[in-house]
Amino acid sequence: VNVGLERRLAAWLDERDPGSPPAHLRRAVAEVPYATKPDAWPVLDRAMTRIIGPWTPARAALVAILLLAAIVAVVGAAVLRPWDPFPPHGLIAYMEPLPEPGSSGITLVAADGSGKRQVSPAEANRYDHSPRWSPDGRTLLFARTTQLDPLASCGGVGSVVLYDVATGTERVVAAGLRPMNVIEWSPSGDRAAYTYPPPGCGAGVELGIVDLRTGAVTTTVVLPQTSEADPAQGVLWHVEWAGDVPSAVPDATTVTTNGRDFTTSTDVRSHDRRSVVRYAFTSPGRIPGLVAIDGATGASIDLGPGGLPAWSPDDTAVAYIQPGGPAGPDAVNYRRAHLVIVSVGSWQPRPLIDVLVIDMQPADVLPRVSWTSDGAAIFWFDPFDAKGVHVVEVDTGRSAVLSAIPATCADVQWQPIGP
Amino acid sequence: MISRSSVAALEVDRRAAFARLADGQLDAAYRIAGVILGNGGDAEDAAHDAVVRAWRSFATLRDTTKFEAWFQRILVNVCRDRLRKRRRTPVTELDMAGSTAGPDGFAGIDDRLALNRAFARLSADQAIAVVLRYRLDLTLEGVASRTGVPVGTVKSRLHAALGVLEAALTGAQVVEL
Repeated sequence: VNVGLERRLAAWLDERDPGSPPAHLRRAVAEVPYATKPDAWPVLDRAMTRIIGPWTPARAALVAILLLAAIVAVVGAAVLRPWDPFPPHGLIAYMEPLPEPGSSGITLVAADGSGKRQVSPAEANRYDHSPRWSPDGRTLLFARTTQLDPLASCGGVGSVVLYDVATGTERVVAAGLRPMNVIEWSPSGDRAAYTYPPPGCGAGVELGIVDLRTGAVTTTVVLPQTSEADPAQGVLWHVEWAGDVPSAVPDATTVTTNGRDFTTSTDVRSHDRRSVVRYAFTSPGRIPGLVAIDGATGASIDLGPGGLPAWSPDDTAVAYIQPGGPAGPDAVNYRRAHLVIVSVGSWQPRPLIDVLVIDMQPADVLPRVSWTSDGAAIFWFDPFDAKGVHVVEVDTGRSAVLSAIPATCADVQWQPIGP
Repeated sequence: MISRSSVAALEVDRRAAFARLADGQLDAAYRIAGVILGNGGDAEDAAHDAVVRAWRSFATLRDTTKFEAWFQRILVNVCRDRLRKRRRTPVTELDMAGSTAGPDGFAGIDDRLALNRAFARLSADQAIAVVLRYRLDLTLEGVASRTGVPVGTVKSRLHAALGVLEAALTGAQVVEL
């Protein structure tokens, strides 16, 4: 330290000392606590002063403008939702064949291909299927068939499994059951219902109900035995819940009118079960037609040809793939289709994006679409193009193909993401 | 339950307590502000502003034994604001003709002119650090607590400020030669 500098500096600072304060200042200071109102919010006021300086009308106007702009931005952002992630967050569960002989299992993967993990243990002759997310997206329910006889088309022992996604642990809720075709959560989430038989088993139809807390199972014979007269003969049965009551429903019903012509139809009901879209075809090679039956008015609306539809989570719209024209010279072996959304009430199809579907037999099969649980996106897997899972954002039409999901997958289910 | 008259009495006590505390600090506050700002008029305004600000925030001071340090910090902030505002406006240099040599025999008119100019070139934070350290003889930790910055920051401010002042004085001597 330069001592000489410090000494000269101290002397100079000493000269600047103004001495004692004048008497009028002392009097003014003494009046301050009686003449000045203290801040109501001293800490907030101090912070605001530090940020924007002393409180003047101009500064107040500036803050008001900034606040207004922030409100407009928040409201605008809420309306436009520009920050919605796309593809949506959440894991995708699907079924695929496993390397072990005679075995299929469930796999989870994020839309970007990260976090891939196999839920099902590697074991021969084991068949895990029907992955279904709980409403909060934390638990995966699925059906398992073990002790499969590789030489027989039917058999094995069924069990119901819950998989905790956070911990990666599974809990077998009920075991020693008949093998299942499909299993579904109850709306309340405390039970599950399944149907028997699985594909390849010619047998009567049973509905099983599992209490997921206790593991207790009750079964009901829905159809004692199949018969030639049964319009659902040979088809599989799935579960539909109406409130807290499950029922077994045939995937399709065939009606023969004159012994030669027939109509096979599948009813896709809204979640509130008031309206229905009937998907029906009359002969192989023809694209099925869709007819909506409005539960509010009872009106029947012809939606034209299309693939299996899906109701939006809030039952205000139906999405499906509608056939279009030729794909053009740039897409040989493809034909054009459209993903359309129909609003309930107006029933006017609104094309969302064009879709290329492979131009091969069977021509009557268009991909079946699904909605994400928040209704923000529609996705489907087309086994014929084998590109992966297609996903489209409803509000913007943004689309992507998730190639991380293999072409051999089935039963693709998107994890619900909470608010 | 506290009665309305008790609340009024407490309020009167609070005002009186603040008035006593502020009066006790007024001398030092006026002189510090005078040294930092360089003139009595600004020092008066700064000391008064600091008292007003302190009273407005008095409710946030939980321990009145720390009033001195708390108040000096407010005063330093007031002085910093005034220095910054002043340095955004053109300054007319004072005519120092007629000044006499200081009592130490070194701080002659050239020294004072040089220090005046150099001090005016310091940033507000540097000028405040110099005054607190070399006028109030505060430790580095004391300067840090009054200015609300780490000790390392105080050191660097003082180092930079002394460099400017020393260069100014060296320049004055060269001119003198």
